[in-house]
Amino acid sequence: MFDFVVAYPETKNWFYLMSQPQTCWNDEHIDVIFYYLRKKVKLQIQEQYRYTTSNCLYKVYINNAYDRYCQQQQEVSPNEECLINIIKGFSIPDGLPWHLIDEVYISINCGDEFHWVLAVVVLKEKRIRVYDSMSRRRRSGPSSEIQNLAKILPTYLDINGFLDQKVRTNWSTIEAYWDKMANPIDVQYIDGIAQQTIGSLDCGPFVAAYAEYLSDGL
Amino acid sequence: MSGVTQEDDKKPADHINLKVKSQDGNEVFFRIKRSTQLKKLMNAYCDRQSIDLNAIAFLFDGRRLRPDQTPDELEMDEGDEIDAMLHQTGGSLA
Repeated sequence: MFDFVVAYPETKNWFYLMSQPQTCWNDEHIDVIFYYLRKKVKLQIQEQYRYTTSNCLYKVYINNAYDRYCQQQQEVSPNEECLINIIKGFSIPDGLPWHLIDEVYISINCGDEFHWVLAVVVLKEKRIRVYDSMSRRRRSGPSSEIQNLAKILPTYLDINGFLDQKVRTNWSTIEAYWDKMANPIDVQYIDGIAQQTIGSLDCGPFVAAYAEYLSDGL
Repeated sequence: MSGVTQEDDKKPADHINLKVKSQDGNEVFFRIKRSTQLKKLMNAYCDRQSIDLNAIAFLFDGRRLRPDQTPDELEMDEGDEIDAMLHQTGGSLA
């Protein structure tokens, strides 16, 4: 058994799936790559640009919290705790608190579409940039996962005291946060990026490649 | 009922009650030895729910569990919750 801290592949097939064409990546593959991206930024102390990444579960917590919030069910709190811990930089191995960084990379599994996309939360602009390797397929608006994230994230930044933080960035002076926190975050789909060929099943590697490219801050 | 409590009183350190919670919020309770590998709990859960063990990731405090870990090793407390999350996969066929 291999120990990659965030996942423990037990079979050769795990590596086979990762390396061969015409295979699908699952949450463990993406989580391992995103873990190493977090390690990378921690080693680059002098860099101006700082980011962190989330894990694939983030989407599940967001969706659960969103459903419960909207249906006014009880038991929002366990999910809230997970979301808040991640924003504070706890609970994800080698995570950074969000008030000390510029961008957060979140891998989003669009379950209904059997598809991976990369959502980048640009904290200073209060904006989510979505990198989609199948953007031609998208005719209607953002997928439900992205919409839930855009709607619910401001609330959690707010109740977490994110705006009171001044260590690296004085968040309260940023104009994007002056309007009501309850307003959803702007969502912007990025055009003109590399696209997978149809039928290639490569959206997982594309998400990893987008994230790695962005992580260099070029 | 009183018989059960008595047993609890006798061996508080030996056994532990754990809750496994699925993604849709259903809860299943298990009682296992603190020194037993969680593999046993995982198999029992999947059997009971009629799901493939490979389709599920078990998480404790947001981290994936390895089947060879034990409650002792993870310093689990009485009544702790384990999340059973479906694996996410994607390849965009369309």
